[in-house]
Amino acid sequence: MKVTVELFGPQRERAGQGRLVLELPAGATVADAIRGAGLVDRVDLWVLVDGRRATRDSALADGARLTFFSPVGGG
Amino acid sequence: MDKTPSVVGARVKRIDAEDKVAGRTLYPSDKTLPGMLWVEVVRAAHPHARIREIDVKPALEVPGVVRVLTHRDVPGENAFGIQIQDMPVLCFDRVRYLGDAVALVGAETRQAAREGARRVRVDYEVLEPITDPEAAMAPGAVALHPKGNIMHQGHFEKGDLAAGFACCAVIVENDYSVPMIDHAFLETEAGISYYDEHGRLTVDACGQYIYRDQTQIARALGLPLHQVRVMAPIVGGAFGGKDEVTVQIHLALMTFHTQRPCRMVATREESIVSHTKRHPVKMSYKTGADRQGNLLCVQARFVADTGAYASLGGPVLNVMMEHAAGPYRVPNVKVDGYAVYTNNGFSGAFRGFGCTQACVGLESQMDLMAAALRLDPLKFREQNVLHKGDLAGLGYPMTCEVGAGRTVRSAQRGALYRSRRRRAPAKPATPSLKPYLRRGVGVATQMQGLGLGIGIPDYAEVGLDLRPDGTLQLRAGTNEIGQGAYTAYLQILSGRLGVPLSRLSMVGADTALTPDSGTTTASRTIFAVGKAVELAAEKLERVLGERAERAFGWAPGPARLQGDQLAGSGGRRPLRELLGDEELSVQAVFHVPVAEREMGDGLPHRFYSFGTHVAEVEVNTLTGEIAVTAVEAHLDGGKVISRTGFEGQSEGGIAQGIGYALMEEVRLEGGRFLTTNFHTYVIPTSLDVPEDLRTVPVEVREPEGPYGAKGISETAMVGVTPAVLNAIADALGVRFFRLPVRAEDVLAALQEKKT
Repeated sequence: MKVTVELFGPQRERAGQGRLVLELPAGATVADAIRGAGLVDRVDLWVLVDGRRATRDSALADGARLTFFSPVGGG
Repeated sequence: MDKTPSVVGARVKRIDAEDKVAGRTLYPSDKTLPGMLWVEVVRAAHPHARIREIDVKPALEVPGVVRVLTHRDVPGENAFGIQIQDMPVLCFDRVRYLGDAVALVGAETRQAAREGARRVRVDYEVLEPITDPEAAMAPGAVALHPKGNIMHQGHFEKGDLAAGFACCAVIVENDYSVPMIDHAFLETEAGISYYDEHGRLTVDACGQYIYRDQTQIARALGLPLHQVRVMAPIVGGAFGGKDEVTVQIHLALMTFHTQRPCRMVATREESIVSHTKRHPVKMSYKTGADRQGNLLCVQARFVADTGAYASLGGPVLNVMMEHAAGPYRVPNVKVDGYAVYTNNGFSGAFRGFGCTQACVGLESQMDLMAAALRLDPLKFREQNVLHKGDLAGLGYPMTCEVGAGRTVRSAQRGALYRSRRRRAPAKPATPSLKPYLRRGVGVATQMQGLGLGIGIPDYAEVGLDLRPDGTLQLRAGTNEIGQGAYTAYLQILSGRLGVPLSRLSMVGADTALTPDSGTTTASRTIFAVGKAVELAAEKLERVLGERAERAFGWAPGPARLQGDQLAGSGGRRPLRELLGDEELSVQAVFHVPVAEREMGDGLPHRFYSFGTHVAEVEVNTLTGEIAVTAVEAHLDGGKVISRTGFEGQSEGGIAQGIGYALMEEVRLEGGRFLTTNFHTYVIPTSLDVPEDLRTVPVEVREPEGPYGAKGISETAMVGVTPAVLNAIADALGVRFFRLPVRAEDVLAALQEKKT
């Protein structure tokens, strides 16, 4: 299945790009997507799946939209 | 369908009012646990020094001391910070400001903890503190961090500045200096920690974003997120000063090592020394307009002293630069900004977030240009304000609803501005005044970005639980820091569902119970969380309709709550017939739309609030005393959700703006704080705030917000300070370029004017 990943801030810097399309096996999870993106998993790597916070074991569906970012905002 | 009932926009009693007034509310500093340890921090003895050795043995000999922790006891990353993790949880090789934590002492009593902290021996090699940001930027300066002392810089240019200035009839150029100031929240940093019934390391402490704090704790302790729980529903004031982690990691660390509940409550002195401040900024403005009063050029340079660590210094500088040209249409703009490391405390988020500083410079310039052109100050502003579709200062289009002009016109119609010539200024006093008093009226217009801006997802998720008796519970992860947002959320929910407030309740800010609603900052909660509440209400009605269709055979469509009944196409049925004894829960998330083009971290915003303030002052030319005698705030925060909250934010903002203009300054000498309590750090009291306060809503509805609401918490404060400065200039014919303006500054200026 295919999922898209949008990256922000430190994650974008680490991945070297702002958008990725990943080909993952059926049943893949968020943890698989992080590995697929070539990123080191860290506790400050936050993931949204289709706009909502997800855990590492959240299952992904074909066409899922993932967002990788760190909580670096405030105000 | 607009279902606005009277509760939206109404003056309603805050849901937390009775408990707070009766003293039943437990703030973080009120909480205790059986068997808890007191935790005290050993802070740096010097603003800049190398640590040679830390000896904890003398502390351990104090009766009652249970544990002393140093950097060796930090199991995860010994670093924290919202944007850049450059701040040690416990210092190991170097201290960079007096608030740096070197060790933690856990003891059975506070007295023992304090004595233990006093006895921890730290051998320092004292280094020369770096206190001048310009010197810190110079080549060859001692670097406080590996990448040098310029923590962040930005440079933006639009149009052709040289050609623009060549067309100007008036060019005004000045330097301004605004001080470091403290948030002066009433409750100092405080909280408790313990292991909850599920074995989660739990921190119940002041903060402004539980999920980010959870991450910072987990990162430092080397724990997975699910083993850390953070809560902070009720906080005794913050204003941005509790956005960065304060006590949370230290509490968690002591409980982690001792397996005991722990408690921390900072003294006022410790609080002022240790937490972030408003950036002191030196800024230069050169602005120009043509003879017809069209603003042609704004050139600004900011040097912000960000102190020892980054925190949110980068985004603060970005917002300062974003707002350098204010709410005005300016074809030629050049902005340069630097945030620089020094040993002067450390700076970060504070109401206005960089916009506050820029507004002092720009709005002074606007008055000076208006005077040079012999134009009315508000007419000059009205002529130049941005409209929807215009390009903002840095060149991006304003795609949101823009209420700047309407706030100016509202101020023009206001009683205070219309009375300004009659009331006063800059010439021998009117007969009603004592001969040594001068009155003046000043104005300021500004805009303030709403939310986190582009570059990071800005979202709010909420949960809504419907019980079979028709009562509802809203769950939102933002904190109640005194702003009244929880009440406003329920007003929105009440409005959308038609359910009275008495049947609604609220659970806030607990990572175990509430979804991630984002930060309690950036004027965003009503806009972002309020919109999520709207979406949750719509979703609930949709889900109820779907279930009623299946259960009762009703025609498709949403169903509405009416007390403990459900109403829809099939008539009315008791809700319990549908739900049995089960609750029905829905979640909804709102993502704040962002600008089309990213120009930096959080830069630019897509949505803004606007405001025009009018201030009247009375200056005693014998003593130099300045009294602010009236303030009118004409604020565009979109649709007002809570009239009481709106006015409360405004009046608090006015008090804070007066403090920034006339009183407040964190003074340091060689990196050491001279103003560490409210005897020396003076904030306004009720006697310093005029009775004559008027807040006028200018409701330019933003379709993306709930009921068209935006946010107001920062706009309410930012324009006050320059309006007061402009009023002083109007009264005396003397302008001040450095804050705060104190009585002695007035006397010295008047003396200089005479000679």
